[in-house]
Amino acid sequence: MAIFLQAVLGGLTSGSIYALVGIGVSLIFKMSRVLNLAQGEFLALAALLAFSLVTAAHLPLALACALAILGVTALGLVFEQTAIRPARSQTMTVLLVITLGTSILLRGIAQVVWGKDPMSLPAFSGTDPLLIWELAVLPQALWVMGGILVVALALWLFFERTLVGKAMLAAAENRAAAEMIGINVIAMSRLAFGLSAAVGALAGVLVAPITFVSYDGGTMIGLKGFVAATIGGMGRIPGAIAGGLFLGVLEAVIAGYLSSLYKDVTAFIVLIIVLVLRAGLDKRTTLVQAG
Amino acid sequence: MMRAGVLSPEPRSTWRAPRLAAFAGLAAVAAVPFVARNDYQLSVLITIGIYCIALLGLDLIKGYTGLLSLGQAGFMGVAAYVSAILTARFGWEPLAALPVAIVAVLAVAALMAIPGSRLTGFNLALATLGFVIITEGLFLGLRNLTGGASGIAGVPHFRIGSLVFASGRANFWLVWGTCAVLVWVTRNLVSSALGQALRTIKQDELAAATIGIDVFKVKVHIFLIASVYSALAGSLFAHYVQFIAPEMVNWVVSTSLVTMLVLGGEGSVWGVFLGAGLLRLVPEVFNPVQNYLLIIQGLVLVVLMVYLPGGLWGLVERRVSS
Repeated sequence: MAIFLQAVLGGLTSGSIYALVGIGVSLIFKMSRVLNLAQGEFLALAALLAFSLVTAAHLPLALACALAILGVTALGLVFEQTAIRPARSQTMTVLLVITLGTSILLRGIAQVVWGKDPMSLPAFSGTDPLLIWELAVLPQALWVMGGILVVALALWLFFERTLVGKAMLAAAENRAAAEMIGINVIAMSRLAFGLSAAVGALAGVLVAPITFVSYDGGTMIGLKGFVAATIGGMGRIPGAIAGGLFLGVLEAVIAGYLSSLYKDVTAFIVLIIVLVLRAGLDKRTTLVQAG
Repeated sequence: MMRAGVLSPEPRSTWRAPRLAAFAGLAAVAAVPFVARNDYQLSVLITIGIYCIALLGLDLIKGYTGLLSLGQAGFMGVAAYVSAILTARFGWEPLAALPVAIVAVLAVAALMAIPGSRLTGFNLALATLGFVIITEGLFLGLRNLTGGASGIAGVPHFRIGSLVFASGRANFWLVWGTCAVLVWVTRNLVSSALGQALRTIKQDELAAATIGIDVFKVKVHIFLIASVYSALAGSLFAHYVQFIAPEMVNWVVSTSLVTMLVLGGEGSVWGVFLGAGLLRLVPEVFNPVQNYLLIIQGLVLVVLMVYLPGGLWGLVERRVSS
C-alpha cells in the first residue's frame, strides 16, 4: 500500500506539470481554436533560461525564475503576432503545422544556444525529503503541486471576478457578438497566448529542479499536456487539470507495476481512445440535435 | 462512384507530361549511379529515394485528401521491424518477408484508420501522432523481439533469388525503380474515380457526402493505400541500412516527412522529389547547416505555411503558367 501511495504521489507531481501544460493548451484552444504543439517548448525554454540566469549571470534563483517566465511570455506574444495572426484565416490543419514548425524551430534555437546537455536548477527549498506519514516527499514536489493550485485559483478569480477575464470568456463563446459589444477579440487571443506561455514557463521553472531539462526535454511533456487537455475536453480548464492529474497517476502506476518503458505508450493509447470515443459521442449528439 | 469533376479542379498538369519526357527522366535517373563519384553520394540519393516512397503515400493523404497524418513513420517502422525480424532472426528470404510486412502494416493501418477516419482535422493529426509514439514505445519495450533501444543488426540485403542488392548501385536502382513504379501507380490512382473523390473531400467534405461519395470508406482506403507506400519504404530502409532501431522510425521522422512535403509542395510528384531532395541534400552539400537543421526545418514549416502554402513547386508552377 505504501508503495502504491508513493507511486500515486509521484504521479500527482508529474500530473501537476501535465496539468499546467494542459491549461496552456486549453487556454489557447479556447480563445483561438489553435492547437499549440509548441507548448512544451515554452516549458523547456523557461527552464534553460532560468538556468543560464542563475549560473552565468549569478542572479538569485527567484529573480532568475521570474525573468525567465517574463521572457517566455514575451516569446508567446511574438509567436502569436508573427506566426499565428498572419495565418488566421487558414484551416486548422495549416495552423497545426505552423505550431509544429514553431516547436521544431524553438527546439533548434535552444540546441544552438544551450547545446545538447541536460541542465537542472537548484531546488527551491532544499532536497531533503519530508516524511509525511510513511511517504517521502521532495519539497520541490510540494512547490509543483502548490503551483497548480495557485494557477487554478488565479485563473478562476481572473475569469469570474475581472472584467478582462469575462471579456475573454465572452470572446471565446461568440466572437461576433463579443466584437459587437466592443470587446477587442484580437487582443483577447493575444492575451491567451501570453497567459499560456506564462503558465508553461512556470511549469518549466517548477519542474527543472526535479528532472533535467535539455533542448528537446519539453516536447514529450508538451505532448502529455495535449493528452491531458484532450482527456479533460479541449478548451475546458478544470478538465485539463483533472486530465493532467489522472494521466500522471496512471503513468506512475504503469511505471511502478509494469515498466517505465510503457509510460508513453499508455498515455497515447488513452489519447486515441478518448478521441475516438468523443468523436462517437459528438456524432450522436449532432444526430439527436438534428432529429 | 459519381463523377466528382464538377467540384474539383482538373488533375495537375504535371501528370500529363508527355510520355517521352517521362522515359527520358527515367533514363536520366537510371544513369545517376554511373555519374556519382562514390558510394557515399549514392547512399544519400538512396535515402532520398526511400523518403520519396513514403512521401508519395503521405501526399495522397495530405496533398490530395487534405488530412494531416503524423503517423507515417510508424507504418515504416512496423514494416521495417517485421522484415528485419523475419530475415535476421528467422532466416527468411527478404522477398518472402516483404509481403508479410505489408500485410502486417495493412492490419495495423486498418486498426488505426477505421476509428481514425471518423475523426476530423486536427483530432486525426493528434491520433496519428499518438500512434507513432505508441509504435516507438513498443519497439523500445518489446526487447525480446525488437532488441529494444539497440535495435536489430545484421538485416540481410534485399535479394531476389541469386540477385543480391548489395552494392550502392544495385540499391539505387532497387529504390528508385520502386519509386518510379509508385509514381506510375500514384498517377493512375489520382486520375481515377478514387482520386476525384479525394480532391472533392479535400475541398468540401459535406459536399462530397452530398453527391454520394462514401467519405468514411474513401478515407479508410486512402489510409490503407498510403500505408503500403510507407511499408515499402520501411522494408527497403531496413534491408539497405542492414539495421533498424526505434529512433530511425519515430515521430521526428514523421514530422520530417511533413516538412519535406510542405517544402516541396503538396499534390505533385515534383514537389515530393523537390522537398525530399532539398531537405536531405542542403545539409550534405553545405556542412555548417548541419547544426542549424532543426531551426531550418522549423522555419520552413512556419514561413511556408504562413506565406507560401503551395510549397516551392507551387511557386515554380505559378511562374510557368503566368
